[in-house]
Amino acid sequence: MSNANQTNLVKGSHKNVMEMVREHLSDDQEFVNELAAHLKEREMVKILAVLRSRANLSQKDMALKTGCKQPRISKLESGVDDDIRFGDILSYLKATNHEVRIFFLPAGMTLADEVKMHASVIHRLFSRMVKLAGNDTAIVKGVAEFIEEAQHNLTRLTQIAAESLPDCGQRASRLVEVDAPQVKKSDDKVLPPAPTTDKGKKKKKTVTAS
Amino acid sequence: MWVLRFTEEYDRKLKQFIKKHPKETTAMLSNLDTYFKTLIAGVKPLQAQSGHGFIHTESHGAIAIDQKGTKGKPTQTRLYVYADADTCTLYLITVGDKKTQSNDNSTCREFIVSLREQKQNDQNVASVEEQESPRPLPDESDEQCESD
Repeated sequence: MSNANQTNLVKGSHKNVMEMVREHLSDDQEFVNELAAHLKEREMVKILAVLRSRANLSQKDMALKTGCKQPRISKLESGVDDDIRFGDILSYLKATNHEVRIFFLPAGMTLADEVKMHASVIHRLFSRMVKLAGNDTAIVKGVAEFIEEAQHNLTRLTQIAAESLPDCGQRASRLVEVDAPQVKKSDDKVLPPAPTTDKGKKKKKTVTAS
Repeated sequence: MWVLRFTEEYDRKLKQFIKKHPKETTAMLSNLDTYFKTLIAGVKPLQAQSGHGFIHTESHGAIAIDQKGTKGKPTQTRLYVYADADTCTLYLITVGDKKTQSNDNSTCREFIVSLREQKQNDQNVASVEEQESPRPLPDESDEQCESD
């Protein structure tokens, strides 16, 4: 039985506010556009407010940590991104125990370009790890295990994305299955292995054929 | 992952509020967006509601999101919601102003009581079904309210 009968819920659920508004207020395009613009102007402000809340800090706590008064925090969080100073962002990150990483991206980057950019970042981080390991047997072992685990997880991510695509006769011809070793779990979260339809079948990973 | 659901009353009243108080409604939905993003970030509902100045705690676990952020002298408006951490669902119950506050709180109470009764019934049915045929153990991917 559905809850919708007793609680008069409208059918369906939504993953975010804008999606919900776009779907249910499509006959009031003016309001939809106004709200979209309003949210767009406050993206960074909202991130800061969420960071503060996640760190379990009240606006008063944040004011104490950043050396200002609570009304300033309130004004900042109810304001727009254009009014935030870079120093405000740094103060929030410091108070919530975060570090800043900035990417300067060329305008009009495609999603594929972004994936390539992040792949390049991953490559650079692996190189740093290998360099750091040097000839220390213990660190080399740890790095080797981590790289193996990362390989498994990255392959799983691409597999999940590929499997989410509708089958238009392309997928089968572009993907091949290869055996993959089972990976030992470390402190970091390891993605669960792909569900297999055939019981008892050895787990496999799928990679894109070059 | 958290999702949003809303009642027919919320839908009807929101459309009226857009006509009567467009700026306040925009601010309320923007504040709702911030609250929802906080839940998605993995913050528990109770912690999330104490962390934002635009949130007011109401009875029966409901909270009211106000129009803070509207410029000028806004009308006091409220968007009443209920965060169900068991199902990772944020229910949007109704919208109102100061004049309708009492009625709106009653609406919230009725909704939440009804929702809890329904959940209890569903659990009882599931429990009977489980006794008849035991379910397999859930795997790792069954974890609820997964954060980003």
